[in-house]
Amino acid sequence: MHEVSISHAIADVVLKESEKQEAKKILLVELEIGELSLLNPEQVEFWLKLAFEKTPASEAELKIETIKPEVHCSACGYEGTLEVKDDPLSHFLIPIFQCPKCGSGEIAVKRGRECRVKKIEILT
Amino acid sequence: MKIIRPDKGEVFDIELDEDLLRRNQKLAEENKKLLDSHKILAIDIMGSVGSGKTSLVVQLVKYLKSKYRIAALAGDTATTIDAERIKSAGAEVMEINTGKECHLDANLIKKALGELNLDKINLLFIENVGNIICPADFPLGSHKRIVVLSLTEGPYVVLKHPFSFIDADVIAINKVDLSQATGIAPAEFEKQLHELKPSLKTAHTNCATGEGIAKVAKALGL
Repeated sequence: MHEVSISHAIADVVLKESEKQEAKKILLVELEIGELSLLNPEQVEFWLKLAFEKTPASEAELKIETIKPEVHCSACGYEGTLEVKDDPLSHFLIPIFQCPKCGSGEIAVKRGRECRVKKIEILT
Repeated sequence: MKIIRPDKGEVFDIELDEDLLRRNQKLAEENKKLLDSHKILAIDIMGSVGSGKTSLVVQLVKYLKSKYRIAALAGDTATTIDAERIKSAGAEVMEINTGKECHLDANLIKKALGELNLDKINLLFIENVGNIICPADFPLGSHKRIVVLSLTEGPYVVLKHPFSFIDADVIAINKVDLSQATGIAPAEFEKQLHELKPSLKTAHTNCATGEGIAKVAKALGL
């Protein structure tokens, strides 16, 4: 959904850092996108490549890792992944939003919602 | 501090670890703290365009205004139509016009909270822009979320938008009076919702008449 604006924000973070480091070229950009976010990694890649045109990152390799949801259950202390429903109608696995150990709904998402610029590799 | 910098022509790794969605999440946490410090319970309302969000808020205000001091924030791309409707039901209202943006974000809520007299209220409704996709990535700092899901949105809306419902506490299945016309049984939505998140509370509503509002209020703990 917000792939355009978020891609511009990513480009901003990357290009500002490379300017600070006086980089000639950005060789690699590594991103993490959570599976619970409503961002489509393929669209982020498309828009980011456009945002990088005519910048030192124009030839950068993009690596996008998708992050599986991890939760903490405040009822039983469980930490880990959610069970998923593999519905042939969907293009993705739909997590079942309850503690897989005790069935409680009191779970907090620890990972899986991020859109993170993990690291960049630059040539100085 | 000594800083090691790359020499000219060297390849260098920089760990940035900057989460762009986290910026909004942090602001949302600040909003929640501010609301807590004024003992205000905030509930955000999400739902498709035309699902009945404003009608739900209007009915909730009418039902709860003798028990709570209520304010509402009405989010829309343009106009103050929603705010006027909620105001006439008896709540203090502020309209948030987002322009072209398809969702509210924590920063807009922070600004609105700065304009409200927080010592005068103890219950705040935040009505999001009509949209069940984009707002899901932008928490606002509310304590509870209700999603309005109406029968006129077609039978597949839960299956097609599972991520829109996982942060909700309560789902108002609205326009139940149109069950026959749409051929959709509210129980079918309930089954799909509970498969997704078993702890979800549901209420059948007709927000045009106020049917089911008591159940919604109860499900929200009000």
